[in-house]
Amino acid sequence: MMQENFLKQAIYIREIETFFLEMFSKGLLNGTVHTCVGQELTPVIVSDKLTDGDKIFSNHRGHGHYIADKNSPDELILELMGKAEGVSCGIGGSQHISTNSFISNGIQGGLAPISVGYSFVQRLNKTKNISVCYIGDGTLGEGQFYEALSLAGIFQTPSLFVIENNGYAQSTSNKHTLKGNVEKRIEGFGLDYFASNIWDIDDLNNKAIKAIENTRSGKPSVLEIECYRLNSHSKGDDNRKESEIAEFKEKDLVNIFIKDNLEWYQEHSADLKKEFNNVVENAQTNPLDLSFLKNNSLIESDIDWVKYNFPKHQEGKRINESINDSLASIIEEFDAILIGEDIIDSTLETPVQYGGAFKVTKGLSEQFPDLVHNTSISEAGIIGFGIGSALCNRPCFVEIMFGDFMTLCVDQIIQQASKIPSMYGKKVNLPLVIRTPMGGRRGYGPTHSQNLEKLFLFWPNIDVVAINCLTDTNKIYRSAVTNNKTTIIIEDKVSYTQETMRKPPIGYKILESDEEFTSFKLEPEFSEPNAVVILYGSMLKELIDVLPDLIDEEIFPTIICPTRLSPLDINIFRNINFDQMPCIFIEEGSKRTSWSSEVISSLLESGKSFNHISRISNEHLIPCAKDLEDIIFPSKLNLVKLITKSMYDR
Amino acid sequence: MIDKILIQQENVSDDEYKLIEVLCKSGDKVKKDQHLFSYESSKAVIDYESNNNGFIYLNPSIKIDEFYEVGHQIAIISKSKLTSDEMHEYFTLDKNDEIQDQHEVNFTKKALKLFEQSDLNISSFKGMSIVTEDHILNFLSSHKKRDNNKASKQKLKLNENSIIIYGIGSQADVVFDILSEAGKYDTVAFVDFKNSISDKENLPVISHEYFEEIIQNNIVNVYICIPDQDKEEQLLKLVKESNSKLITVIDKSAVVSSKATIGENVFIGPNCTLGPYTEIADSVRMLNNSSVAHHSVIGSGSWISDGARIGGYVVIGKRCLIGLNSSINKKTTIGDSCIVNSNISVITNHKAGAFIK
Repeated sequence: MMQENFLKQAIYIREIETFFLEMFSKGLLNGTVHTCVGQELTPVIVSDKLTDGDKIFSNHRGHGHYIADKNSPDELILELMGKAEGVSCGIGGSQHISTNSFISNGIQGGLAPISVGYSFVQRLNKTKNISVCYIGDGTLGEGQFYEALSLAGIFQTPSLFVIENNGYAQSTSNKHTLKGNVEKRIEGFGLDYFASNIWDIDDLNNKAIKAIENTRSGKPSVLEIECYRLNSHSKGDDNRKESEIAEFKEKDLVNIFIKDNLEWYQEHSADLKKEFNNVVENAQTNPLDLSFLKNNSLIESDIDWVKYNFPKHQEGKRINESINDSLASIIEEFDAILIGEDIIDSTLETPVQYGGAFKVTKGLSEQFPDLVHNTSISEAGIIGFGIGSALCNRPCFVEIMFGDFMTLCVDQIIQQASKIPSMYGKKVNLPLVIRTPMGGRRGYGPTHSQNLEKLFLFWPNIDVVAINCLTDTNKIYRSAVTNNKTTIIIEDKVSYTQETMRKPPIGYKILESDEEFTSFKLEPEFSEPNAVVILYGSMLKELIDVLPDLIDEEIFPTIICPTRLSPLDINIFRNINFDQMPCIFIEEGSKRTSWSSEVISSLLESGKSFNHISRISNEHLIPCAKDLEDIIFPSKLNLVKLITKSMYDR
Repeated sequence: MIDKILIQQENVSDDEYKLIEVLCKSGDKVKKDQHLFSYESSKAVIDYESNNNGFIYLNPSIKIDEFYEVGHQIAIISKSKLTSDEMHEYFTLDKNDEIQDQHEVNFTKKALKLFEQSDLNISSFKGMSIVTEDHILNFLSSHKKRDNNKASKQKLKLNENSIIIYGIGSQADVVFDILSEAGKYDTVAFVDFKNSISDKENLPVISHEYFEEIIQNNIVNVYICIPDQDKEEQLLKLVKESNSKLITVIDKSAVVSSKATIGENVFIGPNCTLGPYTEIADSVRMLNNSSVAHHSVIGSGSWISDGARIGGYVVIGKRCLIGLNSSINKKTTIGDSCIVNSNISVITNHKAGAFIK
């Protein structure tokens, strides 16, 4: 009886997917679909064991996973038809679907570390919920999957990974791409391994029960299921042997059941088709919601400037100590998680207090032992982990030790963090904060000194913020959590050991904006400005340090230093007479396709005209030698010369 | 956004000024250019006008008739309303800043060089945190103006034919030209109440103060031609009450009936015609080629532009402007302060203030 139920559910999924293919051939669907014909029993049996609060992390071939969980195809049909009533409002389509218990994304392995972060929070919240992450055998080549296994092993999270091994990655047999032993790989990360196949329902059912119970008891597990995809990878792209496909069609339990119950099947199939056709015929034609697609990377809000208020709680503290204080108070208030490499204080093996490469997290793991954790060196994995935590609405701080390592996080940030909040047609909160120090001038050389923030500018749902020598860290780090989206905070290695500036430079006044992420403006009080300098982050302190020398040379610039680089609010430049005085941008990194490029083009587009523009930046590969660093980076050592040159050599 | 209002350095010799009048109170909404208060130097009263729109908050410690040093903060103007706490914070904080600022005046390189070359006193820049080249140049140029006045004061030699032209604009140029051609009067100086230039047509430009001194103590001829008609009227009165006298300038090519009555400080330009029994009041300007026929009356301060024709028995009020080449029909009456457009013909009466098109 149980077997029959499973088979009938599998038939239900197969009928829907067959219907999709028919719709496709009639031109009713846009794009593509990946069907799971032949593999339906896996999701049917796995979902049978799941309870409320468990969450499925699915992939490109996710219809079966979705229907087994939801038991209704209506919203999926509408989604594939591109209707506003679809499960992702016509935005996500076949591969990008999200409900309370389900989320999918077509990037192979991308959701694996996210599922670990999700199940980590479930353990922290003392629920019995688990995460179930489906991958195919092709994804066994993806690095992020192994980072996820590594993190699940380290934290012993209730994470289950289901590998649906159908022997082919798109058109390539895994005989050519998968060597060694999958079981050993899994066990190598400290996870329990279970194996079964699609042609033995009892065994599959038993292994699913075991694997899920094992996971629920707090042991991360992998369930590998041998299966065969009876249809092509997508629609008409099959390059396998016809004889092999025929052999598996014969062996397929669903086909056998149909053959044995042909009369029932024919009637049932006709009913289902009627049901599906009803959904298609009654589909509404409400307009799709464009607002979810808009990339609000350029905004214009009302900004007021008021006198700078020195954050008194930062008095006498170095900037890394101020950040540390702010992190402690935010972790306490929000029960936020803090993870990263080398961030904890001490262990049995390493009794000497450490607290991060730049000591920003010193003392926090002692204060919050459940919330502050070291991870393996898995930058993409820990960003995914943070996203998983944020998906549970649990704010998460991820420290990336050097900004240069952010290249390893690009996939998670662009394909997941930037997309999740809007690609499912409903707003998803993602309170994730990525902190990382960028920039050079400390002799760390070509791969530990770059300013790579430009890689992350102007993506939807990502705020990029750079702190500086005036920043109230309490305010900025709190805003990074309460803005409910991913915020990348660019810190500065050089200024970690400096204190927040208390007083305005002589002859100047400091104004701060009333934005969520405060911008700063410095204006001369003794004269009208004769230039405008636009910069951010570390460069503010460098410029302020040389301001007396610039004044000496009769250069009195208005200085504008935004904190949030992206989205860009061009109203912070309102009332600046760009047409009457030269404008100088200073960036520590390269000026090519950089923040300044975007600011200049946005200002031009908004109708501003410039008297003169020049940009001071570093266009070199970064050397270790101090003498060379001193030459290539803009800093207090050369800014007077560089600014004077750009003011007078025109 | 907060604007500080500080006592400004107004001249070389005074380091402190007496606050004599405050025309607003804390919390008032003030407008740009609104007269806020006045302070007095040893030589003059300075009216302080607002640079911005906003809410004004007076320094709680200031008092009328007290002396305040240059740089003392009298008030602030804020874009938005402030609570009394915020307001006090601005004054106490700024007081601290001031104490520090007074310790040190920073000169830019160029400013320092100029400062040393010009042999100036550092006290002139007291209260300024940073002194730029422009600050010094401005200071020097205002200094120079005063020197010019002093120098020209000694040079003026006056006799009964001497005339002083009050004004340095285009009308002054025309009057100077006509007087030079006629040869009867000898122009000795121009007057510029703004002290913006020191010489014109190789003659000295003197200050208003010196002009007053001259007209009280000498018998000298004066012609007043400035654009501000109110001020012109005041000056007319001033000269009439002094020992000096106002003249009327008539170009030699003008045809003026001996039966016409002409007031003081009138200008009648080349080729103008003035018929019998016409009455021309003070400060009327008849420009090139204009004419007024018999029995007409022109009110004081009115301008008859080039080529305008005014018929008989016409009455034109005070301070009217009759446009180029326009004609006023006989027996027409036009009220005070009317403007008649160029090239038109006026045949009906008009009330005061009309713009006749």
